[in-house]
Amino acid sequence: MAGPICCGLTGHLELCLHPDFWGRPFLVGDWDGDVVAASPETAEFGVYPGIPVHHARKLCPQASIVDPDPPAAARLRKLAAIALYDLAPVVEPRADGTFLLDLEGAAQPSLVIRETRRRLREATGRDPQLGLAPGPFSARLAAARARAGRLLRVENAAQFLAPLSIAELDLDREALERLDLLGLRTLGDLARLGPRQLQSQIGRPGRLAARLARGEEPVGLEPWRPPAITAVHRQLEPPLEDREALLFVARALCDDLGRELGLRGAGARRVRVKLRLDAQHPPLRGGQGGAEEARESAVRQPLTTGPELFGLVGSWLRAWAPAAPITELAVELPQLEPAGRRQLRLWVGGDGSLEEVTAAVERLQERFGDEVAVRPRPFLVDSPVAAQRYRLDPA
Amino acid sequence: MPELATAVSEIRLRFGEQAVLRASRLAAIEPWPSGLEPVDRLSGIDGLPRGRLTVLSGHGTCGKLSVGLDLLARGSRELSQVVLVDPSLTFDPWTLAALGGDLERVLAIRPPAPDACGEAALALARAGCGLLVVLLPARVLAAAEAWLPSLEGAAGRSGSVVVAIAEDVPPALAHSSSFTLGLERVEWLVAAGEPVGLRARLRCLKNRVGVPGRETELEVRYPLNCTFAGKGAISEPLLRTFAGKREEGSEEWQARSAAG
Repeated sequence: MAGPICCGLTGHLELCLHPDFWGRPFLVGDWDGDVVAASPETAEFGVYPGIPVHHARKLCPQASIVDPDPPAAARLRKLAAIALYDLAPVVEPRADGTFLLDLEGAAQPSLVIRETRRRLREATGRDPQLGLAPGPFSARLAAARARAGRLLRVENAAQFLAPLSIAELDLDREALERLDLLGLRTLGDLARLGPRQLQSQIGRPGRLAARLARGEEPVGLEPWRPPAITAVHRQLEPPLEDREALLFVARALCDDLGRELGLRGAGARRVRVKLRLDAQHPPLRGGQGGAEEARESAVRQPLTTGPELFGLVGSWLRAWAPAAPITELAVELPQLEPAGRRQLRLWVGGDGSLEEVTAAVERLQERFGDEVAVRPRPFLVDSPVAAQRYRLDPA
Repeated sequence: MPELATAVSEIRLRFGEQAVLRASRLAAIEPWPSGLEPVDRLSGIDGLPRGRLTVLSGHGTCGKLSVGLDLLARGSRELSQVVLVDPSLTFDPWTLAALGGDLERVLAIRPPAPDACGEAALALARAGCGLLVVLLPARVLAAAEAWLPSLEGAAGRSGSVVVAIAEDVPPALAHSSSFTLGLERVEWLVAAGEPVGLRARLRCLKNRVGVPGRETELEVRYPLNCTFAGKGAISEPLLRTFAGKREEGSEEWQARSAAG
């Protein structure tokens, strides 16, 4: 185990999606299915995730029931993971609102913890409970015992875990009952037994449970890998015909993408813009009209910032003649790559922006042809006619 | 005040992060010391302002293009990339070489249409090329009202030095620039019956970064007897500037004024 591990708990992400219900009993789940997530206020009525929703209704009739929205929860998970991605080398976000960061090698762990708190609050809207411990299991349990917005630090995992109930382990109900019958009710009880003895009683999970109870932390983090594509879109209501307004929206979307790229240290090698058109509207320019128009291009230099993206997207939109008013604008980056930079020539002024200038020139050449950017080269250097001594070659 | 915060966030969403800034976050204007002393002194900050638009203007042959090329040559020796936007296709590399420019670092953009000129200038200023010199002939200037106001903003994002060279200064250009210099030819310099240069009066017409209204004179010598790059050193400095000699208030200036 690498460790130390910082854990942030925000509550299940399905709960984070509904700030209107915070502070009241409510649960997320399909009417004919199981409870996906339940607010802390329902716990005293015996409601917990996994029980049927109709049973939960009987236990807590005053609870509001909300349909689950897995895509929105996945988006929120991705957003939070992106926000934490540059804080630690390994970040593991979980759908239940647990975010684990491996602080091994962090120069200023306290700064990372502070940033984790701030960014989780921004991403999910809730003050996270934070735990710092030698491993993910103890860190999660420490966080669960911290107050919102506060950190509980654990130095000795075995000592911290010893008095806790065995219900904290991810064991099925039957195994828990069996351990209870054996008089093993705390993690300290399990730690005193060897993994083999426990395995002989409840099978393979018992081996893992014994090692967890001893604070050995045999399970590492599963690093989150950012997706190799990203996209943003905006629905436009009423449909837009004004080009300037469309450019404003595109600029905002490009700024969002630029922020994400900066956070991930990535650059876009391919850009796609999609315009969804108003199907009800007659075609503006006598064309066929259609549900969607798109334009896509690969770029030679990866685009890494909002202004760079808008330089390309804006130039497309300025020349675009859509067949109908636009109901949705989407900017997609289907191919990302690390935006690693070369070492700068520090003694040359403005060398840091050389790539941006080169990319801008290439975009101009893509639009207007190679001849638009030229560089002087020596040609007939002995010519008596000054103008012949150099020629202008495409850059 | 939540209403104010909402309004600010909406403006930022529509117009970008830089649309609303606290005054404390506005950076002080940094100069790029060009080494061309009269110009640096007239700006009041010992150099051309970075992230701002500088305009060189003047009617007829008054030395504005020579000064612009000299700035380009000086920039090419210091900066990794200097760009000349040349819609009228008049750029002569040998002139720049004669001025001691490093042609490896010079890029000429030859936009096919006035609109493309604006697009190129904005893209390069935004990208952060060290020095951007934009030639604005009348036909380009006539169509530049749409993009000129954005040029200084684009330069401001990256800190590029942008110099526009134009014969006239229409309102759009005048409003957009932070530092405008007007050149006026005083006399031709003639040697052996041939014009070898000119003497020009350089007047600060507008200055947002320093004190406006100052003026000085400079002498421009054309590169006539140069050898070209790759065949040995240039025989003598080809663009000489004489700053301070004829500054307002100096003894020589007073003597000239007294002589009428």
